[in-house]
Amino acid sequence: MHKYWLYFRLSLIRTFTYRGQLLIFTLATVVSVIPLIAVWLSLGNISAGGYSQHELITYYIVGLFIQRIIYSSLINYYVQEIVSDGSIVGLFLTKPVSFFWATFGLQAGWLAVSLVLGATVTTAFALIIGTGIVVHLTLGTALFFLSAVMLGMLLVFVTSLLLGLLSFWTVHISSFVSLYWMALFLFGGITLPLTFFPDKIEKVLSFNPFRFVFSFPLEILLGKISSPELLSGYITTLVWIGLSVAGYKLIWRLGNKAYTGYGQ
Amino acid sequence: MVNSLLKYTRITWILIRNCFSKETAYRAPFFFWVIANLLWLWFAFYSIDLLFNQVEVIAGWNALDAKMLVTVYSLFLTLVWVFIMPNLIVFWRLINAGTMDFHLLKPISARFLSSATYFEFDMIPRLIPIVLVMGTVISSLSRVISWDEWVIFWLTMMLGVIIFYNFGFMIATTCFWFTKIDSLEDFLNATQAISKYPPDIFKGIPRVVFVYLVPSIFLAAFPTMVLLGRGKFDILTLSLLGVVVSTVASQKFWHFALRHYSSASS
Repeated sequence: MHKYWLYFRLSLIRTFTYRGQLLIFTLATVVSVIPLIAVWLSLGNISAGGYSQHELITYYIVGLFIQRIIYSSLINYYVQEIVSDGSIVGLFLTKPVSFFWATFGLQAGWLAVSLVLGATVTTAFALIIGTGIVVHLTLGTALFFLSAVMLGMLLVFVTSLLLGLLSFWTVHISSFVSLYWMALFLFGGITLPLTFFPDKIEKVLSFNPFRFVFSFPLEILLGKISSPELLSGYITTLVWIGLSVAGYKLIWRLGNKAYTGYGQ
Repeated sequence: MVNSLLKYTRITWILIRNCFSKETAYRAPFFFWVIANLLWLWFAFYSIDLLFNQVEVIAGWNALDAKMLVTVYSLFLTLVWVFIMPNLIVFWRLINAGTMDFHLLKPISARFLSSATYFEFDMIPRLIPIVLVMGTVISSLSRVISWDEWVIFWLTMMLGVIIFYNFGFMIATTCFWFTKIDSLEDFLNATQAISKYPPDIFKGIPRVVFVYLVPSIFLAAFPTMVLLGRGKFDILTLSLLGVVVSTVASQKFWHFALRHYSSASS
């Protein structure tokens, strides 16, 4: 356990070394939700897709916090870099560490800072906008929300790790990553809540993995799902995480056999 | 002056050819990027449809106006990703690795070399569906676009690209102090994305910040307004003013930043 703690500390140090990176990253996340919030503010007191105006604004403001966590959990480009330049050999393959937990430790430092900064920025943003956040917060809702966020974070981490591991076969993974992003935006509910889709499509989308990364925690927080849906949501998230971990193990094993460490 | 212009044109052409050879050498990734870019285009149009299934008008822009705005935005994005973004997003590496030294030592403008070394071509196939959608939207409009409006549209479009370049270059230049900002791409994408929404959604101080300081109105809204008959020479004048102000500001900031450059590892 101690060795993974060191990876985490290393990641924290690196995060604070490049403060400009942190600043631009924070600004990027804030700027990305501003026009969406402005759209709903400009429309006045309307309801759309089963959400009231205040609920939609809450959706995007709290979504800002989740977006930061999602982006901070993405590890694919780091994996691509170390696989393509061969440094994975010295960094992980020849060391008595689990690649999964070591990369998780490396990502966790950036993620920890993101969590704190994300919560701060989201609160500040809500205060600046001055529109009340509509959340009937109870201890239960808060716990369900936070646990759904954490599970979503884990799902993003494992799936992005999987994407990164494709670098064992091709180092040109950026187009796949781009499509992954698009799916997150559209099917995860980042751009618009999933209730904006036509009914038939919405039903199909309710099982897609991207929903459990972004939309599901927000649906819990805004009281948009019943208890049975909550339970099935958690089960589906765990199934997706399980499948992703199984996929990771398979790809890791096959990839290791196929890999020829460049320049090592 | 003319010789200098010819020299820079020749160098740009060589760099474009070099990038084209490099990109087409890896045909499979190139093909996958073309597919990804086409899907992103579909995503932009589909999002607008989803939104306008729920509301009729956003800040005075109806579904057709908004579709035109997104089409023009997509055209802008294509131009920017072919010529501007590939350079801006890797600019920090020059500072981080200290290779800016080599740009400064060459008998050519360092700013030019930092801004026009990379070009990407996988966005170009998007132009076909963009033109098709634009044609459909224009045929649905209740007005005919005159030839002078087309000229002003293209001029404002090009001026918008220049304004975005100046804005993006200023942001990229901050890496003289920050040394590493690989999230610059996310930031620039987010600022570009503001321009696919009607500028009238912003009021008061947010309007000043997100429409003029982050110059989103110049990128897609102004050219779209020309096609929709909401302005002509007034828009062109404002765009020209935007180019002058942004060029002076970014050039001054570039010189200021250069004075703070302390090379690394070279």
